[in-house]
Amino acid sequence: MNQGIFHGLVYNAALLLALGIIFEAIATNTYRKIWLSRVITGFSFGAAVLAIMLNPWVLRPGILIDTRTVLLSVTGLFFGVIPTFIAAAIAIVYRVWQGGTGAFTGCALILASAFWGLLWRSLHHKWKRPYGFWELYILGLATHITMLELMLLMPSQVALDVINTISLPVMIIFPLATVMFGQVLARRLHTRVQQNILKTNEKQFRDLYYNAPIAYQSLDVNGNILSVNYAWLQNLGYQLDEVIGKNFAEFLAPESRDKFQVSFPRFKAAGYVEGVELLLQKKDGKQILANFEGKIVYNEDGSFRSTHCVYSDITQRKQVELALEESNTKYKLLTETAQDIILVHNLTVGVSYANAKAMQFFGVSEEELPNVNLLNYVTPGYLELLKQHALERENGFMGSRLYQMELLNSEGQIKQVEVSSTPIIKDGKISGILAVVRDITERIADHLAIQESQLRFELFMQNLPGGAFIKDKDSRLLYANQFLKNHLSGWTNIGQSPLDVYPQEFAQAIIEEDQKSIESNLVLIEKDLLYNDGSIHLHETTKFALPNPNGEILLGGITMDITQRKLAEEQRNRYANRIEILHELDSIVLETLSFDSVCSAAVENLQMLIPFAVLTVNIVRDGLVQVDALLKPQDGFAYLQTKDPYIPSQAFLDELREKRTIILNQVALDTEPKDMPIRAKLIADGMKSFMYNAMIIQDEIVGFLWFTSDVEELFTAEYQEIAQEFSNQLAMVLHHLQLIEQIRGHAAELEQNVEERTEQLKAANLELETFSYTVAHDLRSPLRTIDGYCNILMDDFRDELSVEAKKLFDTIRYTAHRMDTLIKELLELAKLNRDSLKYSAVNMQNQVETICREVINRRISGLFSLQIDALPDCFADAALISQVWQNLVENAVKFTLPQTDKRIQIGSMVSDSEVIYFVKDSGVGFDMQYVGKIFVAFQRLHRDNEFEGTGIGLAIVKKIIDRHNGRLWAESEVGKGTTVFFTIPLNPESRG
Amino acid sequence: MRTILLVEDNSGDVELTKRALLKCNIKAKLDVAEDGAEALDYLFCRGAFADRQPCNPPVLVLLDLNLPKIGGIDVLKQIRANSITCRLPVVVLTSSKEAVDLISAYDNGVNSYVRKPVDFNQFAEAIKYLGHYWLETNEPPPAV
Repeated sequence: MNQGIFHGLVYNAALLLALGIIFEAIATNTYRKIWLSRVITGFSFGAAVLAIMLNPWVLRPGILIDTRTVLLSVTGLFFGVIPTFIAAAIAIVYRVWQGGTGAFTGCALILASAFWGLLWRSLHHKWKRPYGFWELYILGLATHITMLELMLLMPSQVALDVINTISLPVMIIFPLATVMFGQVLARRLHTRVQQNILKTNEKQFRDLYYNAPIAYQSLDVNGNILSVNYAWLQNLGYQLDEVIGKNFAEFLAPESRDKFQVSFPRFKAAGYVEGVELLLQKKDGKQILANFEGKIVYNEDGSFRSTHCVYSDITQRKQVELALEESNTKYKLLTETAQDIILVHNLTVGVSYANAKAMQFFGVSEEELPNVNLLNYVTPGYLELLKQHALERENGFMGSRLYQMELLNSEGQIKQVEVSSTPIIKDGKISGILAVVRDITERIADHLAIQESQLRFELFMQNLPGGAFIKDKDSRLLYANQFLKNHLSGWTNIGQSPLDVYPQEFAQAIIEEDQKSIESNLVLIEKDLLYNDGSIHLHETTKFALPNPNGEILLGGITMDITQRKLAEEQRNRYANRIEILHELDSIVLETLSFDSVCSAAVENLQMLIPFAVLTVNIVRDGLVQVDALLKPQDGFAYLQTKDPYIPSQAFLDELREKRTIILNQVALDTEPKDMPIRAKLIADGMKSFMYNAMIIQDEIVGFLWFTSDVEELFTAEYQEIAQEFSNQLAMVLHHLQLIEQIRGHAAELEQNVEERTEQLKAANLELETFSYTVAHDLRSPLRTIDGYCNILMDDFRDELSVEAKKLFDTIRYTAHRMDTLIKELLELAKLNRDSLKYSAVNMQNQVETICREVINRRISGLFSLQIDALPDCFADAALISQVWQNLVENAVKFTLPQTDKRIQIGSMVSDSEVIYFVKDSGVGFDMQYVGKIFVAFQRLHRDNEFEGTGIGLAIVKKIIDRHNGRLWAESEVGKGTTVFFTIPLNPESRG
Repeated sequence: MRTILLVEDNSGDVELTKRALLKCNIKAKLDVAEDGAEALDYLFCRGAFADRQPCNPPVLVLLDLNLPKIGGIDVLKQIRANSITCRLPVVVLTSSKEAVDLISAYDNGVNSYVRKPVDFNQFAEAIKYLGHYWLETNEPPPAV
């Protein structure tokens, strides 16, 4: 029986456990409303209770033992009031329906179990510990002890029996079942809690992922889109279904696709991506620049699963970056190219930044910048200032400053600078000072220069020996210098117009004049001005347009007192005129050859200088005075010569010679000298003043001028001077004329002589030519006849002639030949005097070689040792020079032939002015005491039978060399040889 | 027989010329005019030569320059001026080598100019060359 109860109870507990396991497996708690879920749980457990109550172990009818206590206590523990009550209610209803003895006890049992479960639940919540074994076991014990006690509610007989029967199995099995069932449910509960947490987390993540403001995407291994988030879609303007499964490249701007094709494989290889910038193309075509970051997620086996990337839209950031960069570049460019020195310094005036100009100024490179301290560049006078400024900055002065100071540049030059300093404020503190330094040295210098120039201008104006003024375009006075104030104070009030000072008409004229000056730029006016002191001065006023820098046209004027200048000018003009006229007189003197024409031509000019009425020119000749000219303007200065010379008073002439000029300004009949022939007539004609001017040559009075005028006291010192000059000129003319006359006489004589001589010479020449010609023709014919006839005689009468006769005929013939040679050479010599030379460049070398070949080879080739040195060319008559060489070489050969040693040398030497040629032989030579004879015609040093020759050859040579202005000489020693030298001048000027 | 006219006033030279011609076997008749006037009369068959028949010009005229009455150059001019004698070969045979003579002779159309050497042998040689050349080698102008 015990066996049966165990079996039944275990069976029922197993059912319970099975139901618990089934429950755990199928229960899904997905209902939104908790109460509903609890009700359902309650009915579920109710069903479970019914299931186990339908399979009880029946002790006896009406008494059913099952594991409803286990189920309900555990339900109470795990699921709280509602499910427990529902399950308990279902169990009670069913038990009541079953009826039997234990019905009441059964219901109480149900309630007690639920009560224990719920009580345990509240206790458990206080413990806050997971459902442990012992906890469940004690619950089981408590529940089932209560169960056994409740058995007592049945009739005692039944109760004791039941208790006796079931207590042991119940107390063994049911607590254990409680533990097991509880643990099944605890596990399930734990799982549910975990699942809830998981679900909540997942949802949170999903929401985060989906709603995150950063765009997210996941790609597969081929780059096709697996998923994207909302931000992604919104950014690009697509719907999810338009995106999923497409290749990511399709959403890139064309220019970024290549980059993606490169970067995606790289990404896959590296496993992560960072900072890749791609240009995405939105659905509407716009583009955004995106910066991608992401990772690859791998499967457990390490294979590629998907990419997880986010990107951020950096379009604007990029634009801002670019703009920043550009503004940076601009700023840099600006500072680097600025003509000002721009630098940033700290509060101890150490420099942290400087532009190019600044580095140039300080003479430092960028690397040396940190070592620069401005204090080293400040002139001592400004050190304190700078230090003070720095101190003020340190004390927090944040305003800008503009001040001037002096800096020393890299070359040590002091530069005036203007400094604009502005603090750089960071976080409310001064982090540095920006200083812009401008070199104003030149500006200051300019300013000083302008000041100085103004000062100079004023000084100049005040000391100008004339007036200077400036007017505006309406002729209102703007400026007048001291001169004007001193002398012409009438119109030196600034701002007044001529209309304020002068009468209407006069003022208007001045204004017009001013206008004209402005228009035509320059006007010169000459006019008399009334000075303050009442004196009148001639002024030359220059008025000129004076554009001032504003573009306004003003009128400048300078007025000079030219009274003195004018006078001087007039005098100078007169003087110049005088010089001109006197010069003209000179020309006349030189051009005209007669005294008369000199007088009439010159006096007309003279009258322009001296307004005389009558002028007479008196010439002293052999103690008599002749009035050579009487000249009156009204007669057209006709030249009148008076016929009658007179004897002048010696006293007058002496006085005149002494004084040169005698002026008689008021003449009367009894005024000395009275003995001039036409004096009385002139006085009768109304002449009132006289002037006599002496003409003196070599202290001898050769004549005098006599000016008369019908004006008293006409002849002033100036006239006297002019007259004296003229009379000097005239004296000179007179003298010249006398000289010319003499020269002419001599020249004529000379000319006649020359003509006569030329005639004679011509005649002589002609004679000589005729003579030569005759000689050439007529002297030679007889010789030919003599020679010819001797020849004929010797031919035709050979047999009849004795040897002696033949010898005599030979002599005749020889003599005839010799005479022919003589004649020929004489003719040549004569010709040399007549003909002019035909100069050309002569190749001496060629000439000499040719002649030597002819002379030597022809006769005696091989006997001679001939040496021809280099011979320079010369400028001469080629034919004549050839003759020279011919004669000299022939001579050399002739006189060397008898010698055993036959040498001939031809050479030259060059000096500065001439070439010396020579022919040297080893011939018989001659005694140097006869050297003077050898160049004279027909002079011979050897007897006829020793050496042939006429004695003319060297004379011809001598003549030719003479005609070339050369020299000829010889050196010789008897038996040793002779050298003949000749020279030809190099300079063609010294040609003959 | 061909004729050579020698115009030469020096009888010695005439004799020598004759001899020279004879010596070199030139077969020609030598007529002599002793001055320029006579030479022209001979050539133009006038005056003393008015009856010279036939009035053929000689094959060659040997003309001295220094002649009495009419000078050699003038004779040459008149020979060249006349249509019958203008092509007649004229050789000046003279002692002069003066440039003035050479120039005026050539200017007036002389055919040759030979200077008489003093040496007879040379003279004979010159005459021989002349004779051979003008009488044998040279082709005379055609008769008018």
